[in-house]
Amino acid sequence: MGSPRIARAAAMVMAVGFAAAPLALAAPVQAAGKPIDHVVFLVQENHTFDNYFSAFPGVEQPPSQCMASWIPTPIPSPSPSPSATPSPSPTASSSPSTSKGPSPSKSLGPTPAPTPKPTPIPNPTPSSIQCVDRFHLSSHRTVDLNHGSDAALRAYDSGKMDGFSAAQAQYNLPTNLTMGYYDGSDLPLYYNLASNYVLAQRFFSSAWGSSEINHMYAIAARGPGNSVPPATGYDFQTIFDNLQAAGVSWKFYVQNYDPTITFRNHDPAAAKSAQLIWAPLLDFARFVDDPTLSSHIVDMSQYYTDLQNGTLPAVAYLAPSGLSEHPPGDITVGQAFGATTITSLMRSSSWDSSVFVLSWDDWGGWYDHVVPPQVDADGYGFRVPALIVSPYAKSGTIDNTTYDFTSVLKFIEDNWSLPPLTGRDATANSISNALDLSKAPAAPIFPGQTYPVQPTQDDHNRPLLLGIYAAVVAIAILCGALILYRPWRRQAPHRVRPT
Amino acid sequence: MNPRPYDGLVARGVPRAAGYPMTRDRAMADLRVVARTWLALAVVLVAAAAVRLWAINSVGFNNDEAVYSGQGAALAADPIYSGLFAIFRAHPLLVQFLDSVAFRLFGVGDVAPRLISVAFGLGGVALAYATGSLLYTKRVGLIAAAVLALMPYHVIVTRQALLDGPETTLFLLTIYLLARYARGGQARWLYFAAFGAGLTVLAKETAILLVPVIVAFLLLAPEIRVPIKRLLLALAVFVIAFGPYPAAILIGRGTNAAQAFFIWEVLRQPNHSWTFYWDVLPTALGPLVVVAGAAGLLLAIRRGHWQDRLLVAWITIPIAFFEVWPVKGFQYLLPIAPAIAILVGVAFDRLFEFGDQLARHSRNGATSPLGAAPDPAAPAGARPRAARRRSIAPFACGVLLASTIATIAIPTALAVNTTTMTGSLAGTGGLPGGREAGLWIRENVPQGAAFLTTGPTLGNIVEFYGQRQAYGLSVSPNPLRRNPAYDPIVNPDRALQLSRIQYIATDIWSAQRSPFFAGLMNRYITRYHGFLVYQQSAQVRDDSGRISTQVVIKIYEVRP
Repeated sequence: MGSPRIARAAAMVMAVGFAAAPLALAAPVQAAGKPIDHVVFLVQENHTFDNYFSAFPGVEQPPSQCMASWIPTPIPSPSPSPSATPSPSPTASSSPSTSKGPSPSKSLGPTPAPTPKPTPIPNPTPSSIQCVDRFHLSSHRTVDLNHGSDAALRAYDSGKMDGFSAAQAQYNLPTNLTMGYYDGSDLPLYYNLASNYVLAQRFFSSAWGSSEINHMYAIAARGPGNSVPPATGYDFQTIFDNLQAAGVSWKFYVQNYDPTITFRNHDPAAAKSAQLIWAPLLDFARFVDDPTLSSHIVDMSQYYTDLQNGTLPAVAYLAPSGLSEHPPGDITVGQAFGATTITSLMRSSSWDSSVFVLSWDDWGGWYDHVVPPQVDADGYGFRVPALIVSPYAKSGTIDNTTYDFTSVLKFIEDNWSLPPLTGRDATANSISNALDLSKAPAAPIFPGQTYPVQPTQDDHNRPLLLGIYAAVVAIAILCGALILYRPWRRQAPHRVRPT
Repeated sequence: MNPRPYDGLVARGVPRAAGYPMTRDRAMADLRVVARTWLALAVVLVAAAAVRLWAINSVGFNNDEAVYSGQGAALAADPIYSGLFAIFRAHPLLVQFLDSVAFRLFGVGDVAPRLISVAFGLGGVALAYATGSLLYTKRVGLIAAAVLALMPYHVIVTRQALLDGPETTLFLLTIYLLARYARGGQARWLYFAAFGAGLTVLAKETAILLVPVIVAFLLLAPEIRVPIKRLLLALAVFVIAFGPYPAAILIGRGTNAAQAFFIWEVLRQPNHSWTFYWDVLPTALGPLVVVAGAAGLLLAIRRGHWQDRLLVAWITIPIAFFEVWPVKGFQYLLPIAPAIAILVGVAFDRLFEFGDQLARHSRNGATSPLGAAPDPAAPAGARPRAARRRSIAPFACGVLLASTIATIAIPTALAVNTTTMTGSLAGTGGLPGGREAGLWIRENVPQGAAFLTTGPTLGNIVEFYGQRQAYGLSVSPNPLRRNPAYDPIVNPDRALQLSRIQYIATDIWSAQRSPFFAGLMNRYITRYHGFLVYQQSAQVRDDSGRISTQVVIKIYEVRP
């Protein structure tokens, strides 16, 4: 059964290899003359920029208006589709269109469950319409808000950005939760990373909708075309094909990797089936069947081993498992996972020539106030947070350049002289805008455990304290001078001696 | 009480007392005496400086040195150390304040705090001379200075950036000023003594023992009159000098911290057995010094002048207190070291006096000081031999004194010449390898990283030299069982899981002290994928005295 597929996959790999051979000869394996030898890309899940970083000092603030729990506009229909073909020339599109959204099962987290269908809600009475203000989530328990493309377009509301609560109401989910946000006390590691490196505040998810399409954009600069891979798997070009052809080392690190879960036994209800979302290479026959390619897909533990051994590949993609911060998961442990992947790089010999990009794959149902530019039928989707951590990062800056996941691909392609995959990455802004590659690499700074760092009580009282002690010492010196120089020391001593 | 004529008068230009007409020869003789005295004192001070400064920086800070210097750096508003070392800990801040001045002038380092301690140590030697001379004779003062200059106990502690060296010197200064008051009765000396006592307590709060020492002395010496008005004024001066400690606590809103320290100090568990001081101090003081000091104490008790009663109070109250106090520390009894040195001086002074008498009697052919008349029936030539024997008595006394000093000078020279460490007894020396490991951390571990150490000892080293946060695993979550200055790790697994701790550092001394926590550390190293990134070797002396090079500190990277 598998032989024809394997043969096809092998033929494809060979074809890609032959086609890329001249390019490989022309392109250096290492990025000659460029300081970046390693790009590491971790994509966590399901948070918007406003949900995570609206409390970060200096970022663009969302408007103060509350969000109505009901809006009169109907659910947009039809919703955008994962594009079947790459868009050769991205054009801004204000009204994404076409068919059904991503598979509901793939819009969920590590333990997929069916997403509820939109429920027709009768027009409420005006008195029953709530207006929800933004609020600090802190210890509030969250739920997995609907974050499919239908809900996204409902929230988008043709650019009015006023349907976030209403979108959740459509799915009988809490209408207020979408307006919640976290701050530095909840996300100290990320806030401190943002303070020391680059926080991109116009980093958009590449597409409306949820994880699958955005993860595919992150590796191929295009959507999958189908929400469920065909029986033969996807067969379009990815960045890893180009890296392989150019002889540039790469690895795809998957947390809790199970190589038996591939597109061939895809079962949305099965445990760990979400591995296919986070590691979309497993939806490609050649990356499953060809050992020269499949051997690049390894468990996350290998990432740490490679860092310790100094064998980090040029391009490393990291796929989380249960620590992806996907609601209602614990963001604290997810944050720790994200920070660990970064701090491990920081303490490795690879740090001086690395750039680490940490982003989130989709909006997760959370509010964001910035209207995403529409470059083609797929998106952009809502903003997601993105941290660019590197010894060459423009330290402590908030980057206003417009990015999406293909911006990372653009950087990789520029750094190793690879051809673009689609029009998306060809025209995307490279994340090099966040870097100053002419400067000497900076020493790493681990993110602190608290944010903001409060001055201690000691700091406030130090001057007075020093003044008091200085006064006593001054008095002591004065006494010493008096003892040494006053006439009374000239009086004859009266001595005794042992008898 | 026969005043010794001319003693120390010429050098200070004081007019001679009536009855001693000045002649040229006598003036020259006085000058020679003074010159000899100053020369001897200079030699003593040079020797004292030499043993305190020799290879002073060959070994890095120990735990307490790191804490006090870290506080000094925080007082100097160093941005890194301000975040690592809380200013308000158990002790007042006089020494840390002086460190902070040095840090502001020369930058944060480990040499300046030790030099400050050495300066106090040398001041203590000079004051031992002054006090011995004031209470007894110049010979007592010189012997006391020589003993203190070379005493291993005093040398070892005053080579370190601890509070005990300055505390001891200020303690001695207070005693000196009190003696000045007792001798002359002028009120100003009492006020100076009160101010000195306040400064002493400001150096280290355990010096509050000065108060019972002074009270006991005044009770034991009723002839030293202190009118109530004068006493109250002295008390006020004491409070003014001591005031910065409570004032700083109030200003810094450190009341809770102070209360926590107080409760902890009162309720903390004994850290050594009651024989601790008897086990460690005779060696540190020098066995012959202990014998001579005991002889001096017996002489003082037998004689019972106010000077003697002052010495008795000075010695006995701290010993009694720290013997009863459950918490023992090697350096806690250092303030009595000058008293012991003076008592050694008393004993030898008496011995020299006896030797001089023997020599005089042998020259005069008179009755020996023991009361035995010359034996007329003795054979011819016997008397000259006995006389010769008696005439060399002062020389024999000198040899005995030199031998006694040699018995402390040799171990002192050995102690300052070694970079080994036999155990983890606080105050006995630096932590070999600690500075090297800390500096490696500073250079190679990213800023903001946090360490888990077996105990706070290495943790403080990591914080001072490495400038990285460190948590001691053995620090108890129970506030009654831990130094309030330390933050406990309530749930180490969680801290490691959440990547709040990224490194584990172990050391052999903590492992010896806390095998349980050392085992736990090994389990964490295994569980959290520990990867050895650095190890530091140093020379270690085992219980049998054998020195070997061992890995003393290991640093692992860990991750969830």
